Amino acid sequence: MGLLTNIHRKIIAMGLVPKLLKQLPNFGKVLLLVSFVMMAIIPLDGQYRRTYISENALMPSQAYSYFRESEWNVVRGYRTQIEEFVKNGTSMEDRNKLVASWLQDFGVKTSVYHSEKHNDTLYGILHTPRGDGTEAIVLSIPWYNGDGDFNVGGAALGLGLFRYFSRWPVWSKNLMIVFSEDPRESLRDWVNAYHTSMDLTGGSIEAAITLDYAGNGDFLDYVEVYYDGLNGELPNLDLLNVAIQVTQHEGMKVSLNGIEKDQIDENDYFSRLRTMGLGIRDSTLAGIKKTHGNEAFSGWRIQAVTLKACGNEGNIDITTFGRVPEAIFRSVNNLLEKFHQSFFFYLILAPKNFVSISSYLPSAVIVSIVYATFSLDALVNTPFGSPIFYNTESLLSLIILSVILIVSYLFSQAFVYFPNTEVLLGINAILILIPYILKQKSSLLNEALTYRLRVFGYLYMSLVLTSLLVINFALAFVMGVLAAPMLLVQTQSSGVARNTKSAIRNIILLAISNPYFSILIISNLTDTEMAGTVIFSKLVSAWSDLHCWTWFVVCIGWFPAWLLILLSCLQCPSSSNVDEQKKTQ
Amino acid sequence: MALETLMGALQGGKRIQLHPWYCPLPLLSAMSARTLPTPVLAALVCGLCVAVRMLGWLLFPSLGEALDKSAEFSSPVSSYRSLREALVVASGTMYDGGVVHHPPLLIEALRAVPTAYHRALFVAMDCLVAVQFLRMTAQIKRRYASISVPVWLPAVVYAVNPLSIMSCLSQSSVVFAHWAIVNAVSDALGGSIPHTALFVSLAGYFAVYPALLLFPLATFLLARRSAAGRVSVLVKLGLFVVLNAAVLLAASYKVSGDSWLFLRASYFSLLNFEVVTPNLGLWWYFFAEMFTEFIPFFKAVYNLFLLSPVVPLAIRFNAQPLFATVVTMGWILLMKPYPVLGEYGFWFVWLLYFQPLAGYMRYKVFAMLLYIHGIMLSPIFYHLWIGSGAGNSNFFYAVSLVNALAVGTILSDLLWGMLRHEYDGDKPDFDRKLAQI
Repeated sequence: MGLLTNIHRKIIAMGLVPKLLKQLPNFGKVLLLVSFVMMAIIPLDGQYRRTYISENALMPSQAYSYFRESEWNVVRGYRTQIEEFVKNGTSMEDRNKLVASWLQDFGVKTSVYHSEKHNDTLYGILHTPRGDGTEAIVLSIPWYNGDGDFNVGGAALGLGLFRYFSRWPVWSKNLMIVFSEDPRESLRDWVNAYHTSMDLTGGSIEAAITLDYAGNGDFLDYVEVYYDGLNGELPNLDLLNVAIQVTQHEGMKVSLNGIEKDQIDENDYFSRLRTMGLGIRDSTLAGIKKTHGNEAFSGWRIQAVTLKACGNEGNIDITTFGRVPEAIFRSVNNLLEKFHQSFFFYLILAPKNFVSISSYLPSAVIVSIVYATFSLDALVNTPFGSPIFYNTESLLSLIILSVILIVSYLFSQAFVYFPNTEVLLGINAILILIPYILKQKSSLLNEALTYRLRVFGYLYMSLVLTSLLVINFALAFVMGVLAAPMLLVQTQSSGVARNTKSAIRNIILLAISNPYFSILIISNLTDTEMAGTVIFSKLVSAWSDLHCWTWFVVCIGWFPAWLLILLSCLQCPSSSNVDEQKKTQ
Repeated sequence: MALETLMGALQGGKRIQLHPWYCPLPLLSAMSARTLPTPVLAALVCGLCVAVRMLGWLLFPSLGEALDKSAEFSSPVSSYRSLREALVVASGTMYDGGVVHHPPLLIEALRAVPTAYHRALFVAMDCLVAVQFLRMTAQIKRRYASISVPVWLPAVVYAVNPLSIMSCLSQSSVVFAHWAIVNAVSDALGGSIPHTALFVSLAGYFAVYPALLLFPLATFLLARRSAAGRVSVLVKLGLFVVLNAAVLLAASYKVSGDSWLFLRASYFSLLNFEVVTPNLGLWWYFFAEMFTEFIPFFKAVYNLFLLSPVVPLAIRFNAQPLFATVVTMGWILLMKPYPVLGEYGFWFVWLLYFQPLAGYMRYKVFAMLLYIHGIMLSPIFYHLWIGSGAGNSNFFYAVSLVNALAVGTILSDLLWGMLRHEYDGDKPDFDRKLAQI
């Protein structure tokens, strides 16, 4: 204690505290840099870990898979029939009816779910010969995959697999097969209905595998595995590991996050960094960009992955691809209790490399701290002497924040009902320019208030990021980084913005930290799917079709903070006025 | 009649006025005109209280029910859910199932009100609390010249404070205890022994732990009295409380069908933490995770911990009875087995009276930030654990700890502020600090 007291006294004596406080903005910038560095070192050797199966019961690929050439003819037979659907343009109802009759042939109980808003979904349950039937594993096969291609191979394989499963007595969980029209809203609707209103159900769904094999080829090249759930959810790492392990065990290459074929084999620093970066992007945009089917199962404690067969000139045949779901089903079937708890938060660097939450969460925490630092800076480093937090300005800022929150909420709802991108961007463009158009000094504000508004703006952003951290790391991190330019925005009245150069700098900073412009720019830069302003309609449809709340996080989390910073840029009566007010207080 | 004679005998044959017993509804006595500083102000506060709550209902019709199911606003001993459970069961058998933990008189009183009017009843109770705050603030300002808070402020803060609003929307029964506590403090300020005793007993009857407020409240009544007078006050207060408690319990015994089961269900189950369910308190995690052999020991430890500082606080701060009361309330809140956010909302209002201490408090902003983070993260971590299954109980307990740290910081800061205030006397010297940030 004595030592600490001495240090404490030294610090006071040297007047370090005020000096350090003056450096808060620089400290914040350094922290932001630290956060980047911490993310960048994750793919270095020694920072990441090799994946392993944590639940011993899973035992992937420990049993011999029998879905081999003997089933080839069956698959081919189904495929020929399904090709007829395409050729004849069979309607959804007839197609489902016919497939239901095939499924019933080998004892699958079927039912068709008629959605009110979306398309029908056919599903069947193969009741377990052993076990109590309270748990189920789902094989989901969208008729049309995310690209809009008819899922001929997937459907044939699914039917073949189920016919083959039905002859086996090993199952201790119900097996379910689901044919939805698309991997997006129809499947999502079915999953919701399954948990709320359906009559024919097979118990709680432990895992769901989506099969995607468009085209009618016999062969494939490699397998893409998709795992990002909506709203930051991830499947248990064990299930993903099982899927990857089984696929590689069968001799196929695994591509994650859409890595190209020629880059699959790379495993160096940059390839891992790329996979991680793409993973963060895909997780942020899950549900917004093209969906693959696993997203639809989010929110119901279902572990879901999508297996997509890619290419048709390779030497892997279709039954090999079928052995992957077979082996995954057998692994999950072994599961006695549930998936292990500690593997729901991870980033994947390569098919066999991952980092857990303790490695990457600190950098997002730091981003949140950066905002808190700048908030503290706006509180402490003002021209008004010693900071008093509980005063009129704080109350006013709080009221302004509440009003802005309500306005932002109404704004976000309004855009859901009238999605007009031009109006959205137009309004924001005007907002950005308002501090420079409005030459008249606003009597509502005073200089002390502009500083206090910044305190609340940054503090609010920090709170939003902290809340998001654990629930949706990717979104929190991306949002924190993209909004960071707003930290450098100067107040108009601080004198900096009087010359043109810094005024332009302010406008640019405001523009690139504006949530809508920012996501427009970044989505165009990082994702080929997001050309033009399509991201906004996708954000809205992700909400209305899938209940992915990214749009509201942006509108109610990021936008209000930005608006507060914008308000703090407005011109206001100069500080002499404020000094008098201080004295009267 | 027997009661009257008894009291008469106790007073040495001198008849005293026993208002609470003869007033048919204690509620009316609290509302009677003698209590309101300015009827207009009271009407305004009531109007605001009702308007804000009605707005909440209109804008978010399903919010109340959702809050009633949340771990933050509902506990087995205070939720409307379990209260409703009690209402559908016949009076005599309410406590057989082990689901009901509300005291019987409260249940019977609510049974008398049609369910459709319950919402209105809870809003009305909130209004009563707000109006009582108004009255009490006027009393406090009369008594302590240094307290500069405007008369209307605490009442308005109670009316518009989101925690109180949400607690009201969830129809949490904590409001009854709050009403009793505000009345008790107000009557203690007024120096009325029978009234104080009545409301302390009622508060204890509703929620057990507020009965401990008897000690700090007694210091209100002891102030400016001779040694002999003090003894007589203490004896009177003690007797009144025992009497009140006896009557309340006897009545409960009668209405619950001549059975003492309610004692176990409403009181012992709290002390014994019989319903192990996650909440924002410190208890649950221990009893969910602890080895069975240690559970009785830790139950005793928690209860002792809650109990032990109450009397010392009352003695140390006997010159500052209001401070002792509020600190005790905070301590109970920190240590009680089933805290809900509605109680925090109520407690924060009381902190307004210590605005003169604010200059001495060192961690105001820190505590506030901590508390805000706690409130924001608790539903998220609860969801991760119970909802999505990605987290576990450690997540939620971590938030409980953050919350406890926030309340603990406020409490220790308040104590520090008061000690500095006593040290400096009338001339506050805010600049004399070890380290200023």
